[in-house]
Amino acid sequence: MFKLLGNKKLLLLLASLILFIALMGLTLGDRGRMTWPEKFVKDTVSFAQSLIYKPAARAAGFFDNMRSLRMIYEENAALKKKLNDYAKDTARLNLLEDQVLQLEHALEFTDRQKAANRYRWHFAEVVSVNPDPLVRTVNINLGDKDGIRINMAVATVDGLIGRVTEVSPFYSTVQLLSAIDYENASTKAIAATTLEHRESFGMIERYTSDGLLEMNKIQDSDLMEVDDTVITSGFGEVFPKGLVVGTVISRRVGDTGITHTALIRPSASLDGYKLREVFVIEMPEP
Amino acid sequence: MKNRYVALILLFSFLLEGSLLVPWLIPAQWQNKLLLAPHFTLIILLLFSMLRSRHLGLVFGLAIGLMQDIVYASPMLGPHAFSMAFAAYAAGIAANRIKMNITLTFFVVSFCLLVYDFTIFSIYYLFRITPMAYGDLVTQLLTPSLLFNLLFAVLIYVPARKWLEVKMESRDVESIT
Repeated sequence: MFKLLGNKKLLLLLASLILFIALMGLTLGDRGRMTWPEKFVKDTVSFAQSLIYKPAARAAGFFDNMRSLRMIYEENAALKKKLNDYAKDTARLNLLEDQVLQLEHALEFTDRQKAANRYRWHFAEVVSVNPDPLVRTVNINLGDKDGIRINMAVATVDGLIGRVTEVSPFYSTVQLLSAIDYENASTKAIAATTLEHRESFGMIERYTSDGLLEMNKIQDSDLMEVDDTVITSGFGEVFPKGLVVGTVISRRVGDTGITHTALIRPSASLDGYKLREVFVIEMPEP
Repeated sequence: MKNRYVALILLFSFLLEGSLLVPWLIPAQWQNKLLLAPHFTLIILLLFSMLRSRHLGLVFGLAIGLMQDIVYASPMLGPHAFSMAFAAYAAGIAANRIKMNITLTFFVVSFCLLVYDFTIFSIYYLFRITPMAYGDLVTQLLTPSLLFNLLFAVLIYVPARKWLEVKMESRDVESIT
């Protein structure tokens, strides 16, 4: 018979398989801090990639612009309207903020309580996207030295997109919401509520293959309706309160028959290749 | 000397792979439905391993794969390192045993691409990292990625062979240097 591998080579292959399975098993899951060779490799490679990224992004942006040239008038009209609303909202916001400060003062809030809802938004640029489509992560150009920590929430102007999972001194890795799955231990579910019905509650636990998020564990008596805006509730202690996730597009009785399940269309694009600028949200220390 | 250039080219294509190459090359409508994995580094590595040296191919595969595991924070260390080295070595073995022509070369390249994607998927499946089912894998990832990557392989095959190929009888002697 045609002999593909010698005995020695076959043994070597099996030995290396065992070795690799052992390595994978050991490094699987939360490893906490990265080791220094990892940090070194990640920072060097990411730096080189950030040099390539800028011209590549320019070129990609050029073709995008060509495509959207037709829609520019509609977009302009919509933006003008938004700007109008923005002016109105700012005026209202200033009033409300004043009021909140007065009330906080009157109720004798401690400094810690006052600071609890003041998030810092760090601006970051995407450096590279994971070419492996089964693991949805992107790398951004902020790291440990910029105050980024594991589990910080990451959002774009449209809404929540993910969570920081690994931090090296100058770069960090963001796991996108599209990776969320209850069978995968490296992802975290999001505790969510809606803007219209603040007492409703559900857990976003899965990303479906149609590009929607699945929200489970909604009470039978919950008032949540289709077209509600889903926001994070802050009960999970990982994602801060009040970040927009998406809109409810359907609600039905869940698989167990006890609770309800809703499908949510994410408001931000979760496609790594479309992300350019993101914000990392730093919560005040509890 | 050429081996060093190959190492540099591999490094550069690895850097490019993670940048915005994909949306630039593929129509936007496809990107939502299909999961395309660009494997340009792997293709160069396979050709190198087949035309020049499978042992160096193995070493390069290990290095680049491990780098990918670290840089993109794979759920664990190892899957890419293992599958890349394995695919490169398998291609080298095949080229060593069979007399290669262009059809056979593309056959081996596509087979190794499938093996690579499938090994990674199996490892993720084993450790419960991806919820994807086997059926979806074939239609959404394996087939489109294979076609997309074969296009690239066709593009670089002739220049790569001209540049890389060493005379048949002296292959294994020269490859070490």
